[in-house]
Amino acid sequence: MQEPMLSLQKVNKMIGRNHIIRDLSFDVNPGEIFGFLGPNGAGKTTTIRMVVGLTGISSGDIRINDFSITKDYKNAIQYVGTIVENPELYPYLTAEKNLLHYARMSKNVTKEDIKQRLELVRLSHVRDQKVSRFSLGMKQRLGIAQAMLHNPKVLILDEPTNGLDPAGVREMRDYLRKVAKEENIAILVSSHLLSEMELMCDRFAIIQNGKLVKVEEVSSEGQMDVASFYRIEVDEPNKAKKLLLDKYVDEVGLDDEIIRVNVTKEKIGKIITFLTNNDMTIYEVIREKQTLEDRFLEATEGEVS
Amino acid sequence: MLLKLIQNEWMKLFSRIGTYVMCGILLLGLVTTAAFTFYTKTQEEDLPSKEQWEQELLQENENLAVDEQETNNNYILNYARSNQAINTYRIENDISPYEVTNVWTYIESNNMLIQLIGVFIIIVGASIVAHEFNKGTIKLLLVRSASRNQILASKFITTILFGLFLLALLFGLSFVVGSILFGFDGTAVHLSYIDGEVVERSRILFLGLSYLSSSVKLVMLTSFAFMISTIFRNETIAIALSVMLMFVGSQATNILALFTDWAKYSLFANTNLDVYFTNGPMVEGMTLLFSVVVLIIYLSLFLFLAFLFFKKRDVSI
Ligand SMILES: Nc1ncnc2c1ncn2[C@@H]1O[C@H](COP(=O)(O)OP(=O)(O)OP(=O)(O)O)[C@@H](O)[C@H]1O
Ligand SMILES: [Mg+2]
Repeated sequence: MQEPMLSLQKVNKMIGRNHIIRDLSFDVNPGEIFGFLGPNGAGKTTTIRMVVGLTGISSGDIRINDFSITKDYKNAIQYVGTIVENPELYPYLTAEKNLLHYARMSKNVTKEDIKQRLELVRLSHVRDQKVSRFSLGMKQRLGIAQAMLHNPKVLILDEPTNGLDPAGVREMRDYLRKVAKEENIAILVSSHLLSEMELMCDRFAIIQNGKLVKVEEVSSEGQMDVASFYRIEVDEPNKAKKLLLDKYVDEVGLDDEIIRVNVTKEKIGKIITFLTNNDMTIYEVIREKQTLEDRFLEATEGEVS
Repeated sequence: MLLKLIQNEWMKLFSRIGTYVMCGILLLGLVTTAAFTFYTKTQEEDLPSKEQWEQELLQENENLAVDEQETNNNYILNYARSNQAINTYRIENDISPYEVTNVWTYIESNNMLIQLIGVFIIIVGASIVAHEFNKGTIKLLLVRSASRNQILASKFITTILFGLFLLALLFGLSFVVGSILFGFDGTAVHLSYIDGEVVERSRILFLGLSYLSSSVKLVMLTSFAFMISTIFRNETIAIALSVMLMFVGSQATNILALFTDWAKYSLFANTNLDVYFTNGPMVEGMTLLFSVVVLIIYLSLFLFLAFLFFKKRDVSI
C-alpha cells in the first residue's frame, strides 16, 4: 500500500466557543483527485486553511509527505501548492512578475520554469500584461500556474471552478486530471458543485457542520453487486409490474407507464430475460445515474440543523 | 531568502503608482523651494552692514533676557540662554548672521521637505502589511517556505530602505540643484552652544547631523505605523494615527514638559537628537545616551509587538 501524501488525523478546530471542525480524518494519495464536499459553512475553507498553515489546529495533526504542518512547517509546506478561495494575485504586477515573485520564494525555480508554466496554462501571450486586466478565468489559470510553480506533490484548491464558465470548468478539470496522472500529484479539491466533482474526482468526502459524513469512491456505482434504479419501458407495464412483484422484487414503481425498480446489475439481466420470455416487448432499459447530488442529500439528510 | 524577499517587496513597491506619485511630489517640492530660494536670494549688496546686524542682535538679546527672567520652562530657558550666547559670540568675532544664499542654506531650507518624506514612509510602512491583508494576497505569500518572521522583516527593511532612498534623493538633488543655482560662496560655519560654550562647527557636518536626526524621528514613526498596521491589519487607522502623532507629538510633549519631568520618557522628547549639539534638551539632565536608550526601547517595543501579532494570529480572510 502506498503512503498517503496528505493525511488529516482527528483534526479539531475551535474558534472561540465554536467547534468548527470535529475529529476530521482522511487521506489523499498520490495521483488521486480527492473531492471535499459540503454545503456552505460546512468548514471546507477552514480545513484548507489549517492544511496550508494559515490557521492553527486546536487538536489532531495534519501531515504532508509525513511532515507535520504544525511541528515541521518549513518541510511540510514545500510540497504544497495552493489556492485558498480566490486566486489572490497582485493586480498591479504583470503575469510574469507575479510568478517571478513566487519563484523567488522557492528553491530551484528558474526563469525557464516560469515560461513553461505560463505556456501550460496558455497565458504566454499576456505575460507582460497587468493582472488587473485579466478575466476571472485567466486569473484562475494564473493561480494554478502559481500553485504548480515549485513542482509540489500536493495541490490544494478551494473551489477552483468558482465563477468559471462551462468551458473554463471543463478545461480546469482536464488540466487537473492530467497533472494528477502525469506528475503523480495528490490533489484536494473543495466544492459544493457536486455534479462537477463527480466528473473530476476519484474519491470524495462529504462534511457537514464540521463533521465527516462519509468517504466514497466516485465509480462505485454500476458494479455487479451495487443496486441502482432502472427504468424499463415495456408494452404491458401493468402486467409486467405484477409479474415482477411476484417473482423478483418487493417494490415496483409505475410512473407514466414506465416501470422503475431498484436492483443490482446482475438482477436486471435476469429481469430482462424474464420479461421477454413472458412475451413482452421491451423498448428501453435505462439505468438512472445516481448523482453525487443524490448521495449528498442522502448522506446529509436529517442532519441539517 | 531574506534578500530575495526584500527584492520582492521592492519590486512590488515600485510597481505601484502611489510610489511614483510620492517621488513626483518630492521632486515638485524641490523645484518649488529652488524657485522660491532663487527669487528671494540674498546677494552681497543685500546684506546689512555690521552696524545694522549688531544693532539687531543686541535688541534680540534684550528680549531674550526678559524671557529668561520670566519663564520656568527649561526648553525656553535654554533657548534664550544659548541664543544670547551665540549672538554675543557673533558680535565679538564679527560673524554676521546674514549670508549670501549658497548651496548650504538651500539644503538647510529643504529640511522641511523631510516632513513630507515622513508622511510618505509612514504611508508605505502602514500599507506594506495591511495592503496584503486587504487584497488577500497575504495568503499566497504565507503558504511558502519563508517564515512569517522573515516576511515581516523583509517588509520592515524595505520600508526603511525606501525612506533612505527618499532622503538620499532629497539630499543628492538638493546638492546638485543648489550648487548649480547658488554656488558655494559664504561662510561655511555653524555656531552652536554646548555646555555653556559657543562652538564653531563645519556646516556640512551640521547638515548631515540634522538630516540624521530627522531620520531618527522618521524611523520611529515608521515603526509605529508598521506596528499599528500589523496589529490592526488596516492601513487607514495606521496612517491616521501615525501622521497625527507626527504633527502633534512634539507639541504635546512640549506641553507635557511644562508640568512634569516624566515627559523625558516620552518618545518625542528624545527624537530630536540634534538638540544635544545645539540648544540642549527639553528636560534638564537628559543626555544623548539617555535618549538613544529610550529610542531603542521604544523601537524594540514597536517591533516586538508587530512580530508577535504577525506570527501568532490566524489568517482568516
Ligand atoms: N474567523 C472565524 N471566526 C468564527 N467563525 C468562523 C470563522 N471562520 C469561519 N467560521 C465559521 O466556521 C464555519 C465554516 O466556515 P468555512 O468558511 O470553513 O465554510 P465553507 O465550507 O468553506 O463554506 P463555503 O462553501 O461557504 O465556502 C462557518 O460556520 C463559519 O461561520
Ligand atoms: Mg469556503
